[in-house]
Amino acid sequence: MAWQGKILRVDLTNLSAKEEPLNMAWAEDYIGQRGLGTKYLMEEIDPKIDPLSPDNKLIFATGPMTGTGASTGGRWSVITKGALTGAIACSNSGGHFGGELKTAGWDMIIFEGRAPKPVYLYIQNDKVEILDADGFIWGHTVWETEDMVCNRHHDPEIKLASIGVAGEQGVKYACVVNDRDRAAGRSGVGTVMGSKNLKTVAVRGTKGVSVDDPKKFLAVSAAASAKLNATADAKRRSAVGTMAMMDVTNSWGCLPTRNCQDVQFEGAHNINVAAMLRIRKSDGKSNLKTNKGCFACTIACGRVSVIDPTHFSIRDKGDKYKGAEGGLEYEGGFALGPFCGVDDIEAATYAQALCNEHSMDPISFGATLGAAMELFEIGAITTENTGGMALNFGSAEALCWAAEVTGTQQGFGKELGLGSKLLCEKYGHPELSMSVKGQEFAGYDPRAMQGMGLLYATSNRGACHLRGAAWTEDFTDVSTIGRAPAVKTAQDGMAMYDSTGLCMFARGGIGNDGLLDQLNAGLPGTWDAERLTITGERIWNLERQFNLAAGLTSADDTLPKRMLEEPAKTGAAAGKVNMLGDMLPDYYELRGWTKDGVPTPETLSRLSLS
Amino acid sequence: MKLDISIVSMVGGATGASGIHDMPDGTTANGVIAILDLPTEETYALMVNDMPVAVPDRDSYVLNDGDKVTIFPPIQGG
Repeated sequence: MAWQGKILRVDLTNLSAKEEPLNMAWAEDYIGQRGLGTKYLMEEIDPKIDPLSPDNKLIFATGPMTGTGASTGGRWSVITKGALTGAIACSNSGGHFGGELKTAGWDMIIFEGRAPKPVYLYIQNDKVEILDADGFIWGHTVWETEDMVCNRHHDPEIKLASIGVAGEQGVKYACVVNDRDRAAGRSGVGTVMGSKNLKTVAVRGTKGVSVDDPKKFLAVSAAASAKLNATADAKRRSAVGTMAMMDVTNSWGCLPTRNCQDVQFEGAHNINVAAMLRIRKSDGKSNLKTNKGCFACTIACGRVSVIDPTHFSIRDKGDKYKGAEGGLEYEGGFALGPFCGVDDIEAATYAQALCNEHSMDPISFGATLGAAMELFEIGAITTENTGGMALNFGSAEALCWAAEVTGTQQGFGKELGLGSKLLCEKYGHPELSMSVKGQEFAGYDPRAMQGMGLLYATSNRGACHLRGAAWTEDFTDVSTIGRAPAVKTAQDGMAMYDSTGLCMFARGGIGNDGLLDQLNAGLPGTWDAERLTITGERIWNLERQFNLAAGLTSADDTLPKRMLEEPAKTGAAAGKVNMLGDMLPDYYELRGWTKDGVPTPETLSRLSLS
Repeated sequence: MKLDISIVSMVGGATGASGIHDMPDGTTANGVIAILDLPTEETYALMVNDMPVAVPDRDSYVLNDGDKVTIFPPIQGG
C-alpha cells in the first residue's frame, strides 16, 4: 500500500533502536514526508527547546510515493527544529537515499537524544546497527564517508545521508548530503545531526515497496511520466537545468548581486548556462559534462561538471576535484557567483563541490560570504579579522578560500559558519544580513518580485523560494496585485506536494490529476483535489503553530530594511522597494489569522487542528 | 522596423531566434511571439526596453523601431 507501515525510532543517548507502527491516522491527515514528519515533531518535542539540545529530534521521512516507481518518486525530507532559524525546519532532498530507505522497509526514522560518542546507523532491511564512527569516519568529508562505509561493509550499493566537518563542528547552515551531491540543504538540519553525534545513515534495502493496485499503479505512473516528458518545462530542465534561471533573473532585474546592493550582474554571462557549455581553451572541454536524474526521475535536471584542471583552485590538489562531480544548480550558482560579485564559473563550481563534501548549504554559505564582503568593504571586517584575506566583492580567490576555511572550520571560517544574521550582528551591522527568520534569501530579489517578498516574509522555515512562490504573477508585472491569494495558494500546494514523495519539478507536468491517479492506485482510500488542498493548508498551519509555540511572532514576518527602504537601482523594479506592508494584512485575513498572524479558533477548527 | 530581440533560457530553435529582426510597422508585443513562431503551450514573460508588459496589455502594446524585446518562458526556480 505504498507505506511499509513502520518507523524506526533510534535512541542515540542509549544507543538503542526499536520498530514502531506508522501512525496511519496521522498519515491520512498529513499524507507523509513534510506533513507527517512535522506532525510527529509537533507531538513529540516542546517547540521552545534549544535546537542543538538532546531534546530536539531529527526525523528522516519518506512520502507515500517515495520508492514506489511513481513519476519522480524519490524524494525524502529531514524535519527538525532548525539550527539556523529556531523555527520549524523541513529540508527536502532527491537522489536515491529516500527510495533505498523505503525499500529497506522503513517509512521514517526518528532520532532522539545525543550519542555519547560519534556513531553511524547502518540499516540492512530489518537489521539495524548503531556503529562507532569515532576513529573511522568522524572528521572525514561526506565523499570520504560514502567510500569508507561502502568499503567497510563490502557493498557499493549502500546509500548514505551524511554530514561533513561543517555539520560536526556546528556550522549553522550545515546540510545533510546524500548520494554525494544531493542535499536536504536548508535551515541547518545537518547542524542538528552533528549535535547528535550522528555522522551518517547508511541504508541498503532489497525488500521492495508494494502498492495497493499494482497493475493500475504501473499504468498511471507510466502515463504520468509520459505526460511529464512531453512538456516544454521538463525538456528545458533536462537540457539546461535550473541554471537557466540566471539569465531570467538577470533580465528581469531580480538577481541578488553583491549582497543585494544590485539586482543585475554585469558578469552573468560568465556564470550562466552558456558559460557552462562554453569550450575552454585550457583543455578543450566544457564545464558541464552531462546531466543526471534522481530515483524514478525522467527529467534529470541535475548538472554534472568537471572543473578546469588548470584553474587556480584545484591545479595543485592532485587528482582531487578533477573528476566529474555535481555541478552548479541555480541556487548555488547565484549565491556563489553574483551574490559575491564573482563571475568565475570554475571558482563557483569548486566552491559548490566543497559545499557538497563538507555539507554546507551553498545558498546560506554564499549569502553569508556576500554579507561578509559588504562588511569588509565598509571596514567593519578587516584583514586582521580574516587573517590576511581581502574579502572584496568579485574575488574568486576569496570565494575559494572562504569555502575551504568554512568547510573545515579553520580561522575566519568559524565566523562565516555563523550564518549572515549572527555574523552581521557580531560586526555591528545587523541590517546587512539578507535573511528572514535567520535564513538567507534564495536567488530572487523581492523588490522586483513582490510576491517573493511576501513568501520570504511568511515562509515557515525562513526566507525560501520553495515554500510557494507566485512565479507567474511575479514575472508579469512589479505590483502587489493578486500576490496575497497567489502566495497562499502556492504555499498550501507546496506543503501538500512536499508530503507525497514526488518532486516539485513534476507538479506542473503531471498536474493534480497525475498525482491523484498515483496516490489512489498506490494507497487504500480515496484522495481528491479538495482533500489535497485542505491537507496542504492544514500542514502550513501546523508549521505556523510550531513557530508560534517556539516564540516567533508576526514581527518575524518581515524583510531586511534594504528590501523595504532602498529602491532597486535597475531592471523591472528600478526605483521600487518591496511593498510587504500592502500585502501582509490581506494575507493574514485570507489565511484566517488574526492581525497578529495567529490562526483563529475557527481556522484551527476548520482544519481539524484544534 | 528593427527590433533587438532576446530569447532567454529556452532550448532548441527558439533561443536561436535572438538577434536583430526586421518586423512590420505596428507589430505588437504578442505579434512578436506569433512572428517568431514560439511554442504556444506556454505563457511567456515579456519585457520591452527592460520594463514588463503584462499579458492583457500585449495585444495593444505597439512596438517602436529600435525597441529591445526580452522574452522568457515561465520557468520556476528550484
